[in-house]
Order: sequence, then C-alpha cells, then structure tokens
Amino acid sequence: MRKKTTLFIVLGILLLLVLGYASKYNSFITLEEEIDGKWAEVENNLQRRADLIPNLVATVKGYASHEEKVFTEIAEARSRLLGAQGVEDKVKASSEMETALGRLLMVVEQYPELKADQRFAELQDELAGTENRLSVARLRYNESVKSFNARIRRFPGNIVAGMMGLEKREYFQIKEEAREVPKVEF
Amino acid sequence: MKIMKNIKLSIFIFVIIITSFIGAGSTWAADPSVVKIDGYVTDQASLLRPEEKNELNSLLSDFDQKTSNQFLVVILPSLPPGENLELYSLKLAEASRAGKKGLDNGLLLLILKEDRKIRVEVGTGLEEKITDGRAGRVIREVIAPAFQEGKYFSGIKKALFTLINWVEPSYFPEGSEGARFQEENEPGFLFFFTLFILFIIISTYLSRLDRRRWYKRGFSQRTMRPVIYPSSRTRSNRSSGSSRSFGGGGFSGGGGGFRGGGASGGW
Repeated sequence: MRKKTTLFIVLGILLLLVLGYASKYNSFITLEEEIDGKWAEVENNLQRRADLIPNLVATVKGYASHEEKVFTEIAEARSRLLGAQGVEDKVKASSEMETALGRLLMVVEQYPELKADQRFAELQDELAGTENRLSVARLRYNESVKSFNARIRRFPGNIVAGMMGLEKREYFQIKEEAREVPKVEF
Repeated sequence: MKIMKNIKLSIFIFVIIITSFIGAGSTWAADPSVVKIDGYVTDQASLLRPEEKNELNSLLSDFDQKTSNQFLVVILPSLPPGENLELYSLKLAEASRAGKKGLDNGLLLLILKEDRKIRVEVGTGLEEKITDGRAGRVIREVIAPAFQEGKYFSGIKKALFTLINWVEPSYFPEGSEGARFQEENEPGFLFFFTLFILFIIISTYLSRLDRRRWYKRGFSQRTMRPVIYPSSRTRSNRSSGSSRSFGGGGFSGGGGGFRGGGASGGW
C-alpha cells in the first residue's frame, strides 16, 4: 500500500516535470521566433533607409555637386551596411551610416534652395519616417530580447534553457553620439 | 499517518513545481501618462468649437462605419514633460487601438497647441497609401498654412479630406465638399497611361498586319488580342465597420497596429 502511494507520487512528479519542461520549451521557441521577427523588422528598416539614400544623394547633388567628400562617405557607409552580416556587424554599420547621414544633412543646411525643394522635403520626410520606424523596431526588438534574456536565466527556466542550449541574445545598442546626429529637423 | 504525510509532501511539491513553472509573465502595462481618448476627436486644448468638433466626429465615424478605417484627431495643449513627440504619438496610437486588427488601418492626427507641433501617425496597413512623404506634405501644405492664419478647424478638416481621399478615393461622392480634395492624377501616371494606350493600339495594329500577312501565306489564323484587365480595386470590408467601443473607458479601437510610420511638423 505504502509502496504504491510512493510510486504514484513519483510518477506524478515526473509527469509534472515533463509537462513543465514542455511548456517552458514551447514558450522559449515562441520567444525566439518573436525576437527573430522583430529583428527582421529592424533589418527591413535598415534596408529601406539604404534604398532611400541614392535618391536623397542625387537630389542633394543637384544643388551641391562639389561636396564630394560627404557623398563618398555616405556611399561607403551604405555599401558597408548592405554587406554587413549578423547583429553586431549590422549595428556597427548602421551607426556609421547615421554619422554619414548626419553630415549630409549638415551640408543641406547651407543650401536654402535645396531646403525649399519640394521633392527634397518629401525625401526628408521619408527618411525621418524610416528613422522613426527603425527606432521603434529597435525598441521592440530590445524589449523582446530583454524578456528572453531574463527568462532563460530565471529558475526554473534556466534548467530548460540550459538543456536546449539557449544563449543570451544581443541587444541593438546605439552609441549616444550616433543617436543625436541624424535627427532630421525642419 | 505516513500516508497523510506523503500526501501533504506531494501537495507541497506539486504547488512548488506549478508555481515555479508558471512564473509571472511580463505584460505591457498601460501607460498612465497617456491621455484618455474619448472619441474620434479629442480636444483638450479647446481649439475647436463644440459644433466643429461634432462635425469632424460625425465625418470620422461615418468613414469608419463605411470603410473600417479609424482616423482619430487628438488635440492637446502640450507634450507631457519628458516625452518625445514621435514616441508619445506612437504610445497614444497604440493605446487608442485605432484601426482594425489585421488590417491595421488606423491613423492618428496629433496636434500640440502650445508647442505648435503636428504629428500624423499612420497605421501599418495604411503606410503604402499615406507614405511618409505624403504625410509630411499634408502637414506642410495643408495644416501649417491654415494654422498660421488661425484657421484650426478648416486646417484639420482639409487635412482629413486629403488623407481620406488618399486611402479611399471613392469615399466622397462626386461634387461633395470632400471630393474637391482629390488630387489630380500625378503627371507621371497620366504619361504612362497614355503610353500604355498607345502601346495597345500599336500592338493591335501590328498583330492585325501580321495576321493578314500570315493569312495570305496560308498559315492558320492566330488570335492575338491584347487583354485589358478590368480595373479591380480591393476594398476592405466596406459594409462592416470595425469594432469599437465607447462606454466608460473612452474610445477603444479595433486593435490596429502601428510601427512609427508618418511624419512630424509644426506651424
């Protein structure tokens, strides 16, 4: 009689453990998918920005063709961004791009006719919108990374995460100075 | 006794395991700094007269019922301290849940009276129709000039007309006030359209010529007719408006999503 009870208890605990493991496992999978989805959104916006740049540069060139240095810089930053692989590389390339864009917009300040150009104004809106979307995507990505990283370290998730071989995900961090430069103001 | 002890122990272990696995899931807490939205038009800066507010309200409510697009106007005296225009507007838009879930066809026009700032926050599903460039244009060319003259109501109304026409070109019946804010076809489009028609005429002509030639030579007749597809327009649930609720908690839209599209400006 006593043996049976013990057996049932052990079986019950085992069942609970298995169920618990399964639910943690599934929730980690869901979280990972979520992070990947949010990262894809970040990449979309990086790509969108890279696509906008040739148009923007062409418009600026029409008014300020002798500012060669800025144009080369921006073209280089763009090709680095398009060639970057992985989170770390892309984050770095993106902040270089931001610095280059900031310089371009500073050049623009010296050409009042350019600022009055309607096409340029719209391109600037597109760029500002993309920057904003990028920062929203970055925020949402970082939020889900944060919750993922916390959950794989908390007990008992850490045991399951260890068995699954999950590791902490990288944040999309931006340098403070990079954040200030590319602000598109009117 | 021993059995009792075992049962107690197992219950204890059970509780421990269950609670440790459930854990507290982090949820998005409602942000208290976000202003309560009480309808399609929220005016906390007394920029509009009551009858003006009503007129805009009924326009937007009708637009919602007929097309399921939820456009909101929010007018505040100024930004809450420490907030940034874009992030605040996104928070507001998310809290309002404007737009239908899945279609994400909400829009928020935020006006800050004392800061003299404007933001058009465009729902994810409308970003193609109201591009950032267009959103910026409506601010620069419609709202700002009117606001500079103190014509707040007409500025907002014209802006809404323009935005509505971009999203649903057939919403305003011909000859109505709103229909006047339809943009003429962009020159590029007209040019390509003419080219397209020319191309069809020429290719029809050529294929006829060809056919005649082949005919003479004794080939079987080929049927080569240019196919013109009937212009089909996708309509988003015209008959059923999106779900929304007003009671107690203020306005709550259909759960549309935003991701920061739109434009900012000032006057």
